[in-house]
Amino acid sequence: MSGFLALELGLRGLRAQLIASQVIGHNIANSRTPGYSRQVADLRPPPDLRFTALGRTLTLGTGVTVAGIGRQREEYLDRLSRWHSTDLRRLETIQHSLDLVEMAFAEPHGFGPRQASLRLWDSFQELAANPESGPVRSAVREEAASLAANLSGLATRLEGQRTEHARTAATLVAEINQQAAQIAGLNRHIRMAILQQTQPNDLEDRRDLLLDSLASLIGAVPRRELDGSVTVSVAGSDIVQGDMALPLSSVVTGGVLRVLDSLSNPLDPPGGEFAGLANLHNLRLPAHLSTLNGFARQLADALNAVHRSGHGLDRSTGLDLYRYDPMAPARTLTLAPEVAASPLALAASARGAAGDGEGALALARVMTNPTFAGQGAAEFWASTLGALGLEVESVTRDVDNTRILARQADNRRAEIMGVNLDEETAHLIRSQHAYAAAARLISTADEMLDTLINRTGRVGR
Amino acid sequence: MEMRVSDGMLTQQVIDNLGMTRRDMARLQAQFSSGRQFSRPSEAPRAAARTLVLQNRLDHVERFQGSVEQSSGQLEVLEATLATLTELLQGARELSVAARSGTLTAQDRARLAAKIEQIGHALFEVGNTAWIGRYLYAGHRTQAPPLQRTWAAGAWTYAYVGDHGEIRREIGPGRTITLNLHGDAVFLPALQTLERLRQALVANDETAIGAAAASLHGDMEQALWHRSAVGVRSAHLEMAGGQLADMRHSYIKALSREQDADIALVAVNLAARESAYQASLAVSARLLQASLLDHLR
Repeated sequence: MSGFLALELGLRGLRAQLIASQVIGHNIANSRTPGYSRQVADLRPPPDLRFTALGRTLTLGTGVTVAGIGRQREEYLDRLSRWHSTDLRRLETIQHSLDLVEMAFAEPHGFGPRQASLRLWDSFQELAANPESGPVRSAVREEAASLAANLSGLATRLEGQRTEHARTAATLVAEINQQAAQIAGLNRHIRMAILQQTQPNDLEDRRDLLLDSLASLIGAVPRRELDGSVTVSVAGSDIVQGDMALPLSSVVTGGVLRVLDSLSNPLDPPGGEFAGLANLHNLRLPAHLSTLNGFARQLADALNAVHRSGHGLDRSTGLDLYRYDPMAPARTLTLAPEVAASPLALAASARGAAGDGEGALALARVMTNPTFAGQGAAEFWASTLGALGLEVESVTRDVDNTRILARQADNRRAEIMGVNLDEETAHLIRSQHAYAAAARLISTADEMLDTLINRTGRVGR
Repeated sequence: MEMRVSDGMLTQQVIDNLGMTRRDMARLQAQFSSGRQFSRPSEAPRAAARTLVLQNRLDHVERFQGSVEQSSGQLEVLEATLATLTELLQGARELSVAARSGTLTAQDRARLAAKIEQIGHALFEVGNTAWIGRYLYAGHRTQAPPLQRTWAAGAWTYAYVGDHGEIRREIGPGRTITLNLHGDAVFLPALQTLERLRQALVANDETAIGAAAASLHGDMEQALWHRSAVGVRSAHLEMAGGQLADMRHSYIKALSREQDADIALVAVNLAARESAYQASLAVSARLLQASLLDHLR
């Protein structure tokens, strides 16, 4: 046993505490960095020293070394957190879009198809009472045009929203591909760092942040490989393998939005924002559009049938009130050209006499008869809007619940990986004290050596 | 392991909670300023659906109320013309009674004939009454006078050129009321009787005068019968109007219950939420400020 051991011990202490306080400094500096995982210096005693003295074998500790700098992270919590964020992003995407749909219908206090239907019915009643009146006829024409414009405006908005979702999906997939490429690059760096037996903590943080993002964009799931790289897959298809990224693409075929893997196989089901967009584009918006189209078709067909059998003040008969393109009834619904040209062509009369309002009465009855899925026009819209309200409410409730779950998962993750400045400060103070004490150990060892070297062997001098 | 609370968690939680309180406050403020419990169906889908149905019904009822009002205006005009009709016929009958008196000379009867002719003209005008641009007794042919007369060989001939269309209005779901009478039924017989009476007076033919006077009595009866029929329709209309007013009242009440916000309650909730917000702001500010560093030299 050497008398210099104490000096070495002190030195090791100084080094280790310095490194520990540097790690603390790194934590403090990154306390607000997104995705940063708290790091902890792993202080360990080096192998002990055995020697024989005084007839016994003694084991003596040799101070401290830094075995590594650990990254505080729990893979299970990452999985949980990503799982919830995939769901949350999907639902939020649906909610935002449905909010717009609900606003477009402008109920219950704005002017929507329900009010427009009521006003048209009202004007038919007025026409029945005053079939000879020019101003009343003009008013009927305006109300009929207003309902058509309302339906067509709604259909245009919903169709536009749908196209917009397909476009967003394309940019989303470009973003996903870019992030996958970044992960592939990070995989390479991390694998090399591990081969060189270093700990690429900050690179792993960056990779985890990208994995979080991919989870919420499309529900990507990572799998950790033995070499430190991650394989990323969506619905069973890999999009990152080692340092290779396999790009996805989004397509709309036959009105269906899908995402294809690098071999052009459809991924089913994707998650996250893409799943939300696909759900809106393929199911929810078409359902609302088909409601609009169904109403427009029934409205035009039923009113036209009555209108054709009636007579206008200009002796016209056999004319339609509305016309539309069967491919897109709501969007293309307009007044028939004869009626648009002259309100005298409105067939208020059943038999042709000027004072006969029976035709208008029959038109009014179309609006209140069970023409529209078994209901009158205004009732049809009341129940349709009620159903839309329920749909939005249920998605909103799902979003709220999922947000709570996602927040809890995030919190549990933050419990492990988040930086607490008080804690870091306390650790810093401890390191500082340990450093001071190690320094004192060195000066004490120095004094002891001084005693040994300079003050011994002076007997008789 | 005891729970660690990182600074990020703390900040996030403060932001979340403040955001939640602010969202609640925004909703309450919207209720406060609009006076409505919800502004979009998804905030209360069931109440919204009921509200929409009630609004539809209310709209229908108000339309029918308007129809009732306009219809009763038209029936009043109809009644007024029928009143004039009976008055004129009453006058004609008095004249016909006078004309049968044996003491009258041919000259007297000629004077009476002129008077009867005047009554005939007046009656003809009443039959061609127009109201707001339409002839009341013309059926559906409302744009032309329904009664026509021609003078030939010392005699008036009358003709009805209207049709038998009914002017109907809807005053309730599937409930209509007829607002017109036809000139050929109401005026033509009386006009023809008056003409017969006039010719009899001109001819000084006492038997013919007697016969015409008798059928004038029948015409009078007929006029009264029409008048009472219109009276019944008016009463019917008034009853429908009363029912509609009751319905409107109950719909408005139900609608208010479904959609109107209880302003007092909203105000109390808003005040409570506001003080909670203030308190959480104060606590958050102190919580986020506190740090071990403050206590180290």
